[in-house]
Amino acid sequence: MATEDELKNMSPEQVAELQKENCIFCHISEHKVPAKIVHEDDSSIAVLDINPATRGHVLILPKKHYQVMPQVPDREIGHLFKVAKSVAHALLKSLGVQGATVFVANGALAGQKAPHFMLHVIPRVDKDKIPLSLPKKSISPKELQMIRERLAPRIKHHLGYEIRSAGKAEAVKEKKAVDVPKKDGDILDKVSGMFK
Amino acid sequence: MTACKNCELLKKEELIIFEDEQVAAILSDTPATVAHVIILPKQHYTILEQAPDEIVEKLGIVANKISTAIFESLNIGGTVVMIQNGTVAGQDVPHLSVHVFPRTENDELSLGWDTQKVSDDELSMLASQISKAVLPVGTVPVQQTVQKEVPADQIDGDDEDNYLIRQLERRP
Ligand SMILES: [Zn+2]
Ligand SMILES: [Zn+2]
Repeated sequence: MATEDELKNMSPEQVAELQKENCIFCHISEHKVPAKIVHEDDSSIAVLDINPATRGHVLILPKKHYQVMPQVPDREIGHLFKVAKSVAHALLKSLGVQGATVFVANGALAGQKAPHFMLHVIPRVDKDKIPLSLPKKSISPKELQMIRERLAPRIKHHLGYEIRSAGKAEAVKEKKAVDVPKKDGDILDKVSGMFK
Repeated sequence: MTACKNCELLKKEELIIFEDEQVAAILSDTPATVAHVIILPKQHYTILEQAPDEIVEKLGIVANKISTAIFESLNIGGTVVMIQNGTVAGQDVPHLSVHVFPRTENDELSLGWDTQKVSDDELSMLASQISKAVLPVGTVPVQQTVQKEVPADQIDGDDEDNYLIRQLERRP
């Protein structure tokens, strides 16, 4: 491990290299560490979680090292979701389960345990007592309006969506899977800071 | 008699915060946490395996961007992106959706799981079973039929009796 002083003097490329060297999931992607692989292609690998929520719990990883989801380019996130569809389908067929939870914990506070972005696919059966249900809380129209006002400018920034002042939705021309590897310094610092 | 709740949501313009031809993002009016966004394909697919790849891909991209937007505009510690695929996974509306919601320190959600001990032998056996069933991306057969919207007169009773939900509980 590098000392703090050494880290300060490193280029971003060197820091990235160091993160990879210390990342067990990068080692798994490169077959340097054995894992129970259930799927692999050019950009992704899916392995069994060795500390599963239940038998057949799968982790889908991009082979490239991304700490958090905002760093993952569109093409790759799209691909990982398609792999999740394949895996969910495979769990139903091979294990005879009745459903699956696809889960991403983004940020340590959301339950992300390792600094390598991943999707969990967890096989589910009736009354399995895995606590992944969502409460339904109430919210006032005024609060919803406040949230909309906060979110709208950022959503417009990322997805090019225009919200008319009347509150009427206006569809925009479809943006087909454009790669926008935007440097979101703020969020990344905030989120990745949690792993330091 | 109730129509599909998510098809109904797609008509609530006051809740829509993003849409294109294929998908829409909607502010949940029954949120798990404040600023809970539900991303829906506009076409009515019950579960993930029914949605064509281009829709699945789009849902992932939009979920990532909405999650990022939530990060940037609210003072929160993280986000969860989640698909409840099947009633046993907590899916309560028979229309595929991706949930994106922020996590904060005091949100009182209990999301997570206890881990189980599974022996190395059993893991190997499971991996061999599952890997044989994983189809390459682009080759998962589309499940069941797909409807633009489920008319009210095709769904009877409450969610428990809903034929689409029952259809989710595909048993081997
Ligand atoms: Zn890594
Ligand atoms: Zn519907």
